[in-house]
Amino acid sequence: MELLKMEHLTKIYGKGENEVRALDDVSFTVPKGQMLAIIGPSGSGKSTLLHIIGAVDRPTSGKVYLNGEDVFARKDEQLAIFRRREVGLIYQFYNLIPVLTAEENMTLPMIMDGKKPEKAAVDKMLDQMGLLQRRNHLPSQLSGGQQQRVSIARALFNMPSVILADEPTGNLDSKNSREIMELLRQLNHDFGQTMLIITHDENIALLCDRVIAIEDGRILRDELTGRASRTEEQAEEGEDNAV
Amino acid sequence: MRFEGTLARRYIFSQKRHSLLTVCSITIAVAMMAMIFILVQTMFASERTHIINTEMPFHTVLLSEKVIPESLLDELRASPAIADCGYFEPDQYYTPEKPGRYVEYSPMKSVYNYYLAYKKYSEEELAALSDPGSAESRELRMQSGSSVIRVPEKGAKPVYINYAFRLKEGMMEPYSVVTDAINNAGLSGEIHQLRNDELIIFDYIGMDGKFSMAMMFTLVFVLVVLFAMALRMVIDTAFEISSRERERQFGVLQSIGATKKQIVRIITREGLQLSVIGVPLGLCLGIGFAYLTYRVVLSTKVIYWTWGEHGMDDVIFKVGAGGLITAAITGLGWVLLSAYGTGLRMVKKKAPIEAVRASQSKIRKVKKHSVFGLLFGWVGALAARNVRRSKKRYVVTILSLAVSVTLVATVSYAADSYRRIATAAVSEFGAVTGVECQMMIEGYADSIGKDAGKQLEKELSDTGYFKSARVLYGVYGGEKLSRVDNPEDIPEAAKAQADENYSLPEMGGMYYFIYLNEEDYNNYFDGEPQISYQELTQSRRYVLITGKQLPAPETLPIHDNRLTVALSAIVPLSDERRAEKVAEWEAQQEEKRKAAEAEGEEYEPEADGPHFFTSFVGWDAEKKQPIEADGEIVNKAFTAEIAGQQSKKSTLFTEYGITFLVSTVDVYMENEMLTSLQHAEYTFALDFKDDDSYSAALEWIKTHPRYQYEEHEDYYSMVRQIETGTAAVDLTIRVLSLLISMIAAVSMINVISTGILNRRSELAGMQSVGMTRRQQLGLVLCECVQFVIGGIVLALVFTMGAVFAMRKLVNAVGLPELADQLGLTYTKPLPVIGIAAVCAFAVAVIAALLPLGRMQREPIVESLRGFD
Repeated sequence: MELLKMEHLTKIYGKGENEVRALDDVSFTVPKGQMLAIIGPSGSGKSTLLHIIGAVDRPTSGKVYLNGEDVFARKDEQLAIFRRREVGLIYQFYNLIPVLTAEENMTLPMIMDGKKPEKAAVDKMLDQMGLLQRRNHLPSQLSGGQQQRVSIARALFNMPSVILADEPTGNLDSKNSREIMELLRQLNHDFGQTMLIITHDENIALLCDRVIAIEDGRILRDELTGRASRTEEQAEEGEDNAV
Repeated sequence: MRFEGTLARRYIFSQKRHSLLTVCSITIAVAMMAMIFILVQTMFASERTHIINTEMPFHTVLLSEKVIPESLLDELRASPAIADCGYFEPDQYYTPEKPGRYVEYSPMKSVYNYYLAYKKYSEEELAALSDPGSAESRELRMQSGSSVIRVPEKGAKPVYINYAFRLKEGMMEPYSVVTDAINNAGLSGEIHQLRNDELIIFDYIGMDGKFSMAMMFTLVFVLVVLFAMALRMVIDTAFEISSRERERQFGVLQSIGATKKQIVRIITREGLQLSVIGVPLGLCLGIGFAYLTYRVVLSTKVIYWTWGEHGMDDVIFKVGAGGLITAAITGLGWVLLSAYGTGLRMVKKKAPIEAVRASQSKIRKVKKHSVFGLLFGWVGALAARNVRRSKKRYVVTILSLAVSVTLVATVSYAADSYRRIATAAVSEFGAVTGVECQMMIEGYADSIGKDAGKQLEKELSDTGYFKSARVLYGVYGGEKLSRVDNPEDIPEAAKAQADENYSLPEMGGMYYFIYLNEEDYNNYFDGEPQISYQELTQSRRYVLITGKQLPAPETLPIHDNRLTVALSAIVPLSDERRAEKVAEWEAQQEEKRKAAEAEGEEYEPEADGPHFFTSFVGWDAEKKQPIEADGEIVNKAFTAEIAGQQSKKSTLFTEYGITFLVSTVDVYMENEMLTSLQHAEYTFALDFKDDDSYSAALEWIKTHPRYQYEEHEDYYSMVRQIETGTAAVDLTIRVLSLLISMIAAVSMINVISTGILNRRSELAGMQSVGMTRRQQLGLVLCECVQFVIGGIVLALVFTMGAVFAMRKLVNAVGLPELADQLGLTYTKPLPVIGIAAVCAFAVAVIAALLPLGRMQREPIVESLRGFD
């Protein structure tokens, strides 16, 4: 089932001589439950693509559809709500709110939505992330790996349609990187979450179902990995778990 | 060094908003300082010009009828105390104070004009002044008032030979050098020395000048230091904020080999480069602010009512290089200190990697529950944590706000107290002083009688300047006629004769007539006269005021309630008597001088004296003619019929034994005995239509010799002075409040706006996880409210503390009623604090919304990247 659909996405920065074409007519679709890696060298446009999919940036032209709905047809206010409910963003530098504890950071999107998080769900998520003992810690009191876990928990807690991770292991050591990737893989497996992960690391990309290689804003390669055959099955399991 | 300058420049351009804010802070600080200096310079220059124009452009002037010996002048010229000495007889005299134009100046002409203007002497007497050798001229010259020097009118002829001196600043007592030289030359009696004390002070001359100016400059210095400290905080905050933002970059620089000194130099050079824009801009703005204040002051008429119409020309807007340079240097000093201090703090005991990691806040602890969290939910809770995430910043912000609000509230309070007192003084002026008109003037008529008074009254009314002009009471010459000004001047023989024949022996023997109108009559007897005004008028008799109960009737020379008294005109002393008195006075002066010299003290000749007074003249009952005493007698016998007696203590009675005869104006006016008098004197009560009519009327009165204007009877001017004084205080308070508010506002804008900008990526991060613009707006508004509440609560505590302390102080000095007069209540400052709170919130909201709005318009991705 097609969850995301990108149609002729183009993003141009600057004008005239300074014009930079970050994305150049990019089109692809992402089925529900797929774990997709986007790889490419620095400046290839992969982060721009992720930001546009996450609605934190707008394309110069082209459209993004989520569940068949044009994302950018929404007004600003609705777009914020869209980000809150439909998208979970994971950054390389975590972007946690320094004055909020791990638990508060995690539940922030739900709280913004005016909902009160259920204690059991919070505990479960924290436990799953290995943060149960760190729930009341501020970001400055957590290690990089722990901060990234909080960031992932925040992205996941509201059960968004898609999780977008921008080099989630870029700022971590190999041990923490491995743990984070295993965690993401696990979540994809358990909850059937659709995930788009930007990475430099071919090994990490190979942990995903599908890899899109981008260069100069264009899709260079789009291929399935060995894990792709299990995607449908995982997606169904994930739906069951979520319920 | 080059890379530091380059980096500093790059940082300035890469952080345009911060740079702009820092430049604004420097500009405001320098502008405030420049404004204060310019206003102080303007005030001093105007005051000095006013002294020169109303007094004279010299520190001391010698007046002499004779040519001053060249030897004395040479001695004075050679003295290190004298800067300049000049002889001036001609009409025109050039002074450095008025470059490019000639100032007509002559002290003698001034004396002449003074007497003419104030009618101290008749035209004849003034003419006598032109003959300096005459005794009368000399007497006139030596009387009090002759030391008042005014810039003369054009065309007036000089009478005296004058020498003017400008003294040097260096010596402690240069003035005494001139005095000593005159005394040593034995010319103290012939040379009269005028001293321009105010100019001496303003030119820092001698001990007095130095001390007085030191006092004034101390006050200015205290004011400047207070502002300097407040403004330093503004600049400091600006640097702190802009540098904190780059902490990480400084860490990176250190990690690639930059020394701590180089980091400090980068920040310092950045400060200097920003000063290149901020300081000149601040100076220009300061001049603009000062000029605006100057125009406002001129438009309020404060100067007009304080210095008069011509005083307006004395107000000079002065922009001195000294003040501007001091303001610029102070500004630069602040910038360097702030930049250097911030630089030091940036690198202090910090490993480079700590700075590199500084992008995330080093928050270790947060308060989980807050009132704002309870009130506004998660937005309030987040705002509460944000506000307190940097304690130093929070404390500095609320403290600066609290101090500013307290200062504004306190100065407003002081102004209000002053206004209350001044308003009471104005509204109760009549009640306190017993004056029910705006001005009283004396008017002379060539003839006496009701009609003469009425004619003058009509003349005044016809000018059109007065709302009302009426005869208040008429001494009509009568008081002068009978008044005993100085019993000591009565020759003993005349006094003895008068005592024997016509006085009440136990009462000292002299009479004093008072003629009163009905109102004054009733007031005089506290509303309970022994005989009514109408009855007294009809009976054409007098009430005898004895001061005590009369002795037995048989011992009194009053028969059938009749008292025969004498009337006389005012007559000057005979030439012989006058010469005698002058000689007596001079002998006394000589004795004093010798006594002073004997004791090694400096002798200051008395400028005032000798005094001459009119004499009392008795009546010879047997010869039925006036007693011949000093001067000419133009009188007739007068029998006063006593209608009543009343005991009333008076100073005149207890000191001089003067007995009063009170009668009514009507009786006096109708008395045939007075027809031989040449003129009568009236006192008019005047009320003016408005300020313009007052000015025109004053001019008119001064140019009509039959009317005499006395400054102390010009209640209109007094009231206006109080009112304009209040307006001046009000204006000063407003300017002061504005300055304080501006400092607080700039500081608050700095803190709040940069607080938002610093959290740009953090706020964008929130947006990226779904925070709406409205929620962000709510967040920053909550933060603003917290800053304002913190500052205002603290301001309330400070202000209440100040009121409490003032009340304690007032009670301690035993004046509890003063607390009420000053309005020292705890509720009084609340409205000002309330207004301040609203203004502070408005400023905070603007400071927060501008950067937030701008940030929200940018793509989230851009903001997420932060400043890196």
